[in-house]
Amino acid sequence: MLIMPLLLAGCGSLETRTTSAPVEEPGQVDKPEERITVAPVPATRIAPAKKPSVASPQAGSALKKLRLAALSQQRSGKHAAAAATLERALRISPRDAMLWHQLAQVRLQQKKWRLAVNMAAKSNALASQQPPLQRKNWLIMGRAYRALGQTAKAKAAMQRAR
Amino acid sequence: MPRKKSRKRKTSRKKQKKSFLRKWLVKLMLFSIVVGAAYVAYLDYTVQTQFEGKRWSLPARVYARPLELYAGLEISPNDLLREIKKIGFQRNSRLNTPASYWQTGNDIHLVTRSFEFWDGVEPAQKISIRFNDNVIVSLRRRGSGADVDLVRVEPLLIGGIYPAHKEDRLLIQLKQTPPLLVKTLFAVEDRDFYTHYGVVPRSIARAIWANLRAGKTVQGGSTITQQLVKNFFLSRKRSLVRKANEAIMALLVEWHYEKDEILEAYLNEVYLGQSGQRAIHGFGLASHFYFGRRIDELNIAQMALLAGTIKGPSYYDPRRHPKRATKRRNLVLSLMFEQGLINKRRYRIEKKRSLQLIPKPRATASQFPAYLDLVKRQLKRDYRDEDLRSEGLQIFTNFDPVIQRQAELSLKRTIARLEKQRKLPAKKLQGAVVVTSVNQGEVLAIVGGRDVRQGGFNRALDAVRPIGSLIKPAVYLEAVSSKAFNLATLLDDSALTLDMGGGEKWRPANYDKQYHGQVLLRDALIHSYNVSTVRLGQMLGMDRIAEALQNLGVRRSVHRFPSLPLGTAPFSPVEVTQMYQTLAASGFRSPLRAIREVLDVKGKALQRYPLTVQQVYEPETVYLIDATLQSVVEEGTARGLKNYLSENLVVAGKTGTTDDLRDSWFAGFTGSHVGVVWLGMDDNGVARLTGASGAMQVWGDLISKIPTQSLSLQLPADVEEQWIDRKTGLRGSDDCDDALVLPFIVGTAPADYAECAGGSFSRTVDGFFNLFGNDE
Repeated sequence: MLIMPLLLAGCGSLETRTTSAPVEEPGQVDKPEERITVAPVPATRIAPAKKPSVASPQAGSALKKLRLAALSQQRSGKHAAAAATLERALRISPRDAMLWHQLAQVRLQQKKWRLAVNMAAKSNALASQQPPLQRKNWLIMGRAYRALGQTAKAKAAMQRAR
Repeated sequence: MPRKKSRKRKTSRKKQKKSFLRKWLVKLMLFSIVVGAAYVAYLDYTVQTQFEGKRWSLPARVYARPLELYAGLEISPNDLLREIKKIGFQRNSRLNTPASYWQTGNDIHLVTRSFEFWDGVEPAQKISIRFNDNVIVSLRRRGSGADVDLVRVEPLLIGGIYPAHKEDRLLIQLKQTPPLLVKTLFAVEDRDFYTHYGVVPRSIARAIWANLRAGKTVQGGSTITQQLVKNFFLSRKRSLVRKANEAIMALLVEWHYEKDEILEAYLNEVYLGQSGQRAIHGFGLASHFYFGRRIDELNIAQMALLAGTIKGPSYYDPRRHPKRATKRRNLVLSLMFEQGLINKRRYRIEKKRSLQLIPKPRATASQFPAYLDLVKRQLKRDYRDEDLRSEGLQIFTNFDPVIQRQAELSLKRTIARLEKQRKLPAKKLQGAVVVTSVNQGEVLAIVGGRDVRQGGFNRALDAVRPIGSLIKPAVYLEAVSSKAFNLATLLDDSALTLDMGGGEKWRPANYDKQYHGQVLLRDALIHSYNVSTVRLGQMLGMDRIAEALQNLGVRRSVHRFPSLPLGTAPFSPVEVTQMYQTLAASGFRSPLRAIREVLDVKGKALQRYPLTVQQVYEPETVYLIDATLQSVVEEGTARGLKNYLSENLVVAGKTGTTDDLRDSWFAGFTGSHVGVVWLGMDDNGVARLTGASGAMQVWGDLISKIPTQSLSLQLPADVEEQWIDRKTGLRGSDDCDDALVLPFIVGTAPADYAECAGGSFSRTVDGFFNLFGNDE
C-alpha cells in the first residue's frame, strides 16, 4: 500500500523512457536517515566574511547560521540533513567556495567518493584567491581518490595539498 | 362414511395445508434471518474495511520553494507581498492573527505560521522586514527588535496530482479542530451525537412528519453517523432501501467505533464545495478554500459559515450566493447563541462580519501546468502513478514564483509585440521558457506555451527543434579543449563546397550571405559565422562534437552529417538549458532538478534529491568559451540586449536561428541564472524571426526584471591574458590598429608577434596575403 520507491529496484537501462525531460540520475538520492530538527544556533553577530563572495555581504549572518547548523548536523552524523542545510546556504551564496568545500566534506564523510571529488573541484574552481582552502580541497580529493583506488591521482592531489 | 371420510379427509387436508404453511413460514423466516444476517454481515464487512483501511485517496500536493528571508535578499516588496498573499496571508494592521501582514513605509510586517519541513519545524514568528529599494536591509523580531538571521516562510502550494474522481481534501485530526466548531456542528446537524446509537428514531419520525406536512422533503433527520455512512458507502439517491441500509450501517459503525473516531472521519469526509472538477471535502480543505486559513485559525463567523454550508454546499455557496450564505450563517450564529455557545455581545459582533472570503482559487490542477508536468515526469521515475494520486505525498520543488511570473509576462508581452510589429498571423507564434540556477541546476521556472495556464503540449520539454547556432559553443569548446586551437586561431571563412556523396554538393552560407576570409576563432563564434564553423567541425570530426554535447548533458543522440556544427540536430528547450547550465557553471554539470524532497502524508521524509555536480571540462577551458559568450553580448549577435539590460549587469549568451527563420532561439546566463527561450510555430511554419529579433527579446525582458547577479568571470590561475592583433592572430599590443586582449590557457598563446607589435615583417606580410587571398 505504501509508496514503492522504484528507484532502487530499477535502473536506467530497464526503463522505457518516453520523455526528454532531464531527470535525476538514478542512485543519486539521499535517503534521510532520520528526522532532524535544525540545531539551535547561538544568535551571535559575526564578522563579515573575509573572502570575496557574490552574495550580498549582509547575508553573512544567515549564512553563518546555516553553516554552523550544518556543522552540528555533520558532527552528529546527520549527513543528509547537513547536505540539505548547506544547499540552503548555497542558494543564498552559490559561488561561496567555503560552502562547496563543506559539502565536499559531508560527501567524504558519507563515503560518496566521486561526489566528494567533484564538490571539492567545484570549490577549487571558485577559490582561486584562497590557497589555504584549495589545499584543503586537494586533501579531500586525495582521500577520495585513495578510497577509489586511484593511487596516481590520489598522490598528485596529496602533493598539491601540501 | 364416504362423506365422513371425505370430511375427515378435508380436515386432515386442512391440517396438512396448515402445517405445510407453517413449515414454509418457519423455513421462510429462517431463510430471511439467514439472508438478513448475511446481509448485515456483508454491510458490517463493508463498514469495517472502509473504516480500517485507507479511507481516502489523497492527491499529492506540490509546493514551490519556500521563500527564505534574510538581510541582503534581493526581492521587491511587491513580489514579497504577491507571494505571501497567494499563500494566504491577510492584511491586518493589528497583526494578531497567524498568516497576516501589514505594510508601513519601507517595512513589511509579518506573522508567519509554523510549517513542518522535511528537516524540522519552522516556528511561527512575528517579524518586521525593512526594504531599501528591492533589497531587504534588516529583519527584526517584532517586540524585542532583535535581529533575525533567517526566516523560512511556508511554501506556496502550486498544484496537486489528483485521483481520477477529483475528490480533494486536507486531512485534519479532531484535536486540531476548534472545539467551538465541533459544538456548532452538533448544534446544527446532530444535537445528541454523543448519546445516540447512530440513529435517532424520534428525529426520523419528526422528519417524516415534517416532510408529510410539507408534501416534500424538507428535513433529513440524519445523525452525523448516518450522514457519514451515506457519504462513505451509499449513492446519493433517496430511497427507502437506501435509508434502511443507512440506518443499519450507522448502527454498525457506532457498534464498532468510538464517537471521536466517527466524528473525525465525518470532519474529513463531508462535502463542502466545488472548484471546477475538483470536489472540496472536509473542513481542513474547506477552510483553505473559502478563507485561506488553517482550520485552527478560523474565527466564529467563519466556523458558522462552514457549519451552515453542509446543508447545501451548492445552494449556500458563499461566493455565488453571498446573501443566501450570509442568512444561513447568521441563522447558525443565532443557534449558537441560543444554545449558549456564544454570548449576546459576541453574537452581535459576529453577525455583522462580512463573509471574509478569499477569491476563488483557480479550478485547474495547477496554475503552472508546464512546471507541474516536469515534476510529474521526474516523480514517475521513482513513484507509481497511483501512489502519486492517492498517498497524499508532499512534494517540495525548486519552483520560484517570482521568476515564473516574469517568465510568463515576458513571453506573453514579447509575443504580442512581435505579432503586431511584424504582422504575424494571429495566435500562431508559440514559445517556451526555461530558467534554472547556474551552480545547482535547480529548475526555477518553466513556461510551456503562450497560453501559460493551459496544459497540454509542453513546448519547454517536448518541442524538439533544430537549435541552430546554439550548438556552436559546444563545437568551439571541444576545439579549445583539444588545445590544438585557441581563441586567436585563424579560421577560414571563405566559400566552401562539401561533397556529400552521390554527387550531392553542400555549400554552407553565412547568415549575411558574405564570406569573411581569415577570422579569429573567437570572432567566428561571436558573429556566428557558419562557413568557418563548418570547417572547424570538419577538423574536429562529428564524433567529437557529439561527445561534447554528451559531456554538456544532452542525452539525445545526434546525426553525424557535416551540418551538425550548425545545429541541424534537434533538441528541446530544457535539453538546451542543461547544456548551457554546464557552460555557465564552468564545466560542472548538475542534472536539472525540479524536486527537492518528497514527504509522505504525515510529513516523514521519503526521499531527497540532492545537489550533485560532475566536472566534465576543465574550468580554464570553459572560461575561454564563457568569456567569448560574454563578448557575443558586448559586440556580437546579441548586442541588442543592451536595449534591455542595465550597464552593470554583465551577461553571456548565444543566438540561434534555423533555416527559413523557422526557429528563434536564445540561451544565456548571468552570474546566477541560466535562461533558454524558444519561439516558433507548432506546425514548423516560418516564424520570420531570428534568434536576436525573437527569443532574445523575451530573454532580455525577463532578465532585466528578475533579481539576478551580474556575471563576473574569475580569471582562473592557469589562464593569462594577451594582446592579439586581429588581422594576423599573432601577439599584438595597443599600438596595433585592431588589437584586443584575449585569454589563453598558459602556454597556448601564439608565440610570434605581429609587425605592429614589433614582430618580424615576413610573418605579418604572410598573414596579410593569406587574408587577401581568401577574401573575395
